Amino acid sequence: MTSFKYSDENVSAPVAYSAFETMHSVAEIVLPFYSEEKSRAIIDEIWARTKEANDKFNRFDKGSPLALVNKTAAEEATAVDDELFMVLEMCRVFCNSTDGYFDITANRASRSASKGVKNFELDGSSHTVRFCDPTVKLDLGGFAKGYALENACNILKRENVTCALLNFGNSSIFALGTHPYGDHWPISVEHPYFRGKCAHTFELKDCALSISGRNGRGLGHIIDPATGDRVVKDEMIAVTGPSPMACEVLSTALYVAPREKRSDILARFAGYSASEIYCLTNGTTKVIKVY
Amino acid sequence: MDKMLTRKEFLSNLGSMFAVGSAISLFPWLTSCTEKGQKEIEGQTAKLGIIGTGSRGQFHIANLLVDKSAKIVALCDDYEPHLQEAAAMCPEAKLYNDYRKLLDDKNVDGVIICTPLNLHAIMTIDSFRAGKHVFCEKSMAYSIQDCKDVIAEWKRSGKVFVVGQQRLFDPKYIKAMELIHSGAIGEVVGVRNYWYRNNDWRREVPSPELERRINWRLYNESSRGLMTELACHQLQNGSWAMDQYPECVTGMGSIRFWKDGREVFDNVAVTYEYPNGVHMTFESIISNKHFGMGEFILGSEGTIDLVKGIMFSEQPAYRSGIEQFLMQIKQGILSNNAFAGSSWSQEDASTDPGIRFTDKIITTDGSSSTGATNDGSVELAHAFCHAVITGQQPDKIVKEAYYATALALMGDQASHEKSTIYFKEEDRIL
Ligand SMILES: NC(=O)c1ccc[n+]([C@@H]2O[C@H](COP(=O)([O-])OP(=O)(O)OC[C@H]3O[C@@H](n4cnc5c(N)ncnc54)[C@H](O)[C@@H]3O)[C@@H](O)[C@H]2O)c1
Repeated sequence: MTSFKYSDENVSAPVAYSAFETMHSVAEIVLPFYSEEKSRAIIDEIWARTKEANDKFNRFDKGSPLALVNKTAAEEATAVDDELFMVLEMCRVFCNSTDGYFDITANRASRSASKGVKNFELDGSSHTVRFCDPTVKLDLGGFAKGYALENACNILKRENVTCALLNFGNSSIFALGTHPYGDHWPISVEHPYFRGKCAHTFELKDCALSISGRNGRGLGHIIDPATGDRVVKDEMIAVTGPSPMACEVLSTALYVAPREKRSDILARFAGYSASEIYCLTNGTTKVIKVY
Repeated sequence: MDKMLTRKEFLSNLGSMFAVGSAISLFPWLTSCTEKGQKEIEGQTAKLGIIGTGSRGQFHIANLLVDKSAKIVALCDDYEPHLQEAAAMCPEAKLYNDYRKLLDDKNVDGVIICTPLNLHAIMTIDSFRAGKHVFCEKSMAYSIQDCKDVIAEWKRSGKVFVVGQQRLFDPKYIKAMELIHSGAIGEVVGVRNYWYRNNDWRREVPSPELERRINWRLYNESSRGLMTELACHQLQNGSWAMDQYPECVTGMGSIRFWKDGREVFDNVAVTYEYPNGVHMTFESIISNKHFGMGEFILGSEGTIDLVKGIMFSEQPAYRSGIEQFLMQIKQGILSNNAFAGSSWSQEDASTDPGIRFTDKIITTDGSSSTGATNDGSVELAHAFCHAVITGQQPDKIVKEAYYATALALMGDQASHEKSTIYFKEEDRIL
């Protein structure tokens, strides 16, 4: 489902807004300064590109290329298209550079069997992927939103857009340029126990933000690759930096990683910063920067 | 803990929970907790006599000792050790073994009755006749006829009457009911209550002939068991949420585990039916505490956990984080929206962690048979003092207490007869 709204009531800043249900969540964009027609064209292209990625990486859709890999790659080397191959290669790099804390093979079924990148082999000449173990399954859920956001940014940049705000499921955000009436986009983290209450504000300009944690008191969906268990921590991790994809990967990895390892991992990514956000049930918040 | 502080917190909590002024119109019985209510009685005290200075009586005494609007002038108990314990807490109070003598004491404006259930009616009626205001602990009385007699005497007396249904003063419940009445969970479709404990519900008896006196809860002559002692509080929930009262109840009960000579059931399961077709359940077992205490209002669009103060949505809708920027930019302004957080996903619908609707999570597990602090009891006792001083009857309390007690008694009858008991027209007196 897609919604589109447009207002040119404010002549100095006409603005479009659109929301699109995708990746089991909702993607949204605010795009100021364009005509209705031009905004529609740009937004349509972004949603089309997003849908393409969703259709390819949705492991729950039996017919998707990723589901096919999950079905056959344990038995035989399975050929994938260029895009999926590239994504798997990137995920391997991210897995290595985060000491295995970001791992698309982490899942509940293969508890403790996880060996990170060693779980699957990629053959560059034939563009095939092969699992080392029948329990291995790939899950791009923790990657796809950041990736789709990255693609959306590329479309905006290609169109020379200098001001826009993108939000994927409230956890992955990209702020292009600044709010038309500010020198940044103010993006506030909602206190998980109090709807609408601001826990911490980020002032973003040409910058991505990704947040990992659990919802309120509930269990999270992030799995510790080492144990196959859901990770339940008190804090949220917020990562900011130029690439939405890297932010997404890093916030997941840092959330899983023990506190003392977070600085080392973060230091490998130039231009990124991270904070631990502790929201207490009494409504207060403590933010600790990861150095 | 400083109880006055608690009440101050309660006030500020109320203030933050409601749009200014709305709370009092919605919950008029809370006047005593408002600043205006406090001002009204500034410098004045209610002179109180406590009848029954056992566990609950002493709990109230402890709270009232730090309430500036209360002065405990008389104590009565026919069991000397309890009377002496209370006397040690209030050395200036006059001591009585016979409550009728206390009622003759002209210095007493109002009484707080904390005796076994079978004595509530006679003591309340005698107190009204003696011209006293009355705060009687729940349940209101041992039988529906007793309740009706009490209410008739109250009406004749023109005195103030409150009953120990403290949930009416618990911020969690007040806020929850406001949410329910405003449609936050859609239509109410069910009410679920349970109270589980794992203990024999006995008090230590110094000498065997005192058994029935100390453990009055366990015997039919003085108690209606789990229904009047526990259910009574929870049975208020459905009526409060829907503003109607059940038509009938059916139930079962037995002594399954504590076969120690007691007469009241150690487990019951009863179901009430409301005119709109909603069913309210109450279950209690006192030989397994796994589930603890729970009270839920189930709606077509959400569920409210009254004990924990959490609202769950049936379909947690996605709330746009950034659509508000559209409006802002349209208006040429910049402001901040709090929306970012761990990712929202469609699957969250089944594992909705819920939203806490009170910012102070004071929950009780229902294991204490004396009472929990922060459950509204302190505010209720204060409301009584306020009422004694001003002579103003707090709204709603008597009606809620009457129906809660009547429902508990009907449930007890149904579970003994294993039958369906209908609420008689002539018993709908309020
Ligand atoms: N609202 C609540 O949450 C709450 C909590 C606990 C108890 N209660 C209620 O409080 C009441 C008392 O319960 P409790 O746990 O304090 O019981 P308890 O046995 O500890 O106290 C009752 C006292 O009444 C005294 N008493 C009995 N007959 C008397 C008489 N004829 N004259 C004077 N005193 C007499 C007893 O000696 C005893 O000291 C009950 O109705 C109970 O349901 C309410």
